[in-house]
Amino acid sequence: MFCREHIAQLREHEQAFKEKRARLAAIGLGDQHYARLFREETGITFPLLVDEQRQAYRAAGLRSGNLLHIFRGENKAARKRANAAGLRQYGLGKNPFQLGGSFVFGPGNTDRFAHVSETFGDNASVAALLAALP
Amino acid sequence: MDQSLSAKLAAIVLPDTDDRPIHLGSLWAEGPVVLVFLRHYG
Repeated sequence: MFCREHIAQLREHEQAFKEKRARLAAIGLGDQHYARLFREETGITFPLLVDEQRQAYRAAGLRSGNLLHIFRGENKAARKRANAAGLRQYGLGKNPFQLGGSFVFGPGNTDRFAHVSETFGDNASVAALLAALP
Repeated sequence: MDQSLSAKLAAIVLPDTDDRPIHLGSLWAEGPVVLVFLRHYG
């Protein structure tokens, strides 16, 4: 559900990103089937790439959570927030403990922003992402 | 010299949902990109 929450936030502010001439893109684990379903259910129109072998996740240094993360206070709060927004978790996929991250790159190979998630509901804010854009 | 993360990721090629191969670097070659790594598709 946290993935859907983050995607819903990005979609909600898609126009603001366009005004900054930035494109959005997402990378997910799992297979093409999961990815297509996710695309249909979330209605995203930006590129969604499939990283079955976790090649990009590893290169980006993204972390893995564990069972203890589920009981962390901030995770409980994030779950409550996502539930209140009507977002539900539909499937865990192959790697349920993989954590995500958000980055702003470019133009060219320029690193502008990095947020590596420390627990399940820990996503970069839209404000932080917008502020990182040139 | 340490390579930037974007340079490190740029050469990776991943399929999109239509199975077209996408060079990650092409996403930010011409303009900025907000790139989100999802935990999973749940």
